[in-house]
Amino acid sequence: MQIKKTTFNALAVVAGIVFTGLIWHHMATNPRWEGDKGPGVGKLPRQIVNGFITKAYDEGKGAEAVELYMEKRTVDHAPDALDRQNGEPLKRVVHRVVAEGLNVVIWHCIEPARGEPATEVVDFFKTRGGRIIERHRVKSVPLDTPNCPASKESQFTGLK
Amino acid sequence: MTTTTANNSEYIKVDGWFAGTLLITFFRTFLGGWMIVGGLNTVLPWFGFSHIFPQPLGTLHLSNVMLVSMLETGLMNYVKVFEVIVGVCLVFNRFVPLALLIGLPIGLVVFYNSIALNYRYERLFSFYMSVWCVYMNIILCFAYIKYYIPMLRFKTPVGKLEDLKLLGTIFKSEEEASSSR
Repeated sequence: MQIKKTTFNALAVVAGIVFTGLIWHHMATNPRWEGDKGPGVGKLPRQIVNGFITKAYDEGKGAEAVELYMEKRTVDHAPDALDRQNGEPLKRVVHRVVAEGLNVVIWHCIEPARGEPATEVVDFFKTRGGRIIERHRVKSVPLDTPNCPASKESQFTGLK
Repeated sequence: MTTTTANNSEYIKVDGWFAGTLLITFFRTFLGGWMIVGGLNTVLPWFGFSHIFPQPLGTLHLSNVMLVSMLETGLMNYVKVFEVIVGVCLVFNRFVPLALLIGLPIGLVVFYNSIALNYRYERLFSFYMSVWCVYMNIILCFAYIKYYIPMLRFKTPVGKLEDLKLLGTIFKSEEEASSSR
């Protein structure tokens, strides 16, 4: 028995296309990530944190930010933080951002708002799967000055 | 693989050796499909489509650092474009020896990330594509070794300008190419 080489090659191409489709389907429907339509899914860690910061601080929608960028299993060591609550937008002065691997660290000063004085804060975010899964906050004693000092960085390298 | 010529057509004899042909063809097409999907996952969003799946960023810290750095620096974009090209070449059986060579370092980085950076040494003997992408690639390189032999020659004097004419033979069949030399 024999098979024509051109026929065999054509069948091989069809098989390759079928394999491509099967692998595509397998990867697209993997339960590890299927179903999560959060805005941070597929994004880099700093983009995830930037999304959270923009929603919570610039828009003042902390509760929505938590819903979109955190998950039920997220461990937030600052559960009373203003950025988890809705209210007036929170202005801040960002001094430094460090992103390494899945971790993002922000050193910023939050301007007085919602009855709280100006406060220097360092937030450590850990991300996974498009969500913030843990946050630690190092909070300093509230500042003596009414407002945050200007950023010590001449050119801020931001999250975006 | 045994071929016979009859009425200007080439045939492949279906015998015991045909199983080897099938295996090699399976490796070539499956590896090609896997590379196309992996590459398109990054390339499709450039044209307004959504990802096929979220780009994995690794499990352990060093893996996270490497993958995020590749994404941040844009190196991943080059890798993914080459993945698409290599995958298409393998599926459509064109420029296969070249595609295998381009795909090998890509597979080796995937292998290194999966095994060394994520400490998954048990996967060396599994069927995960993160290791089989390299195994398949190496087996395929051996299957096409006759195209690499000139490259592996121990002593290789420099060529001549007229060797550039050989570029004109790359789209010809092996018989046409050897007769035109």
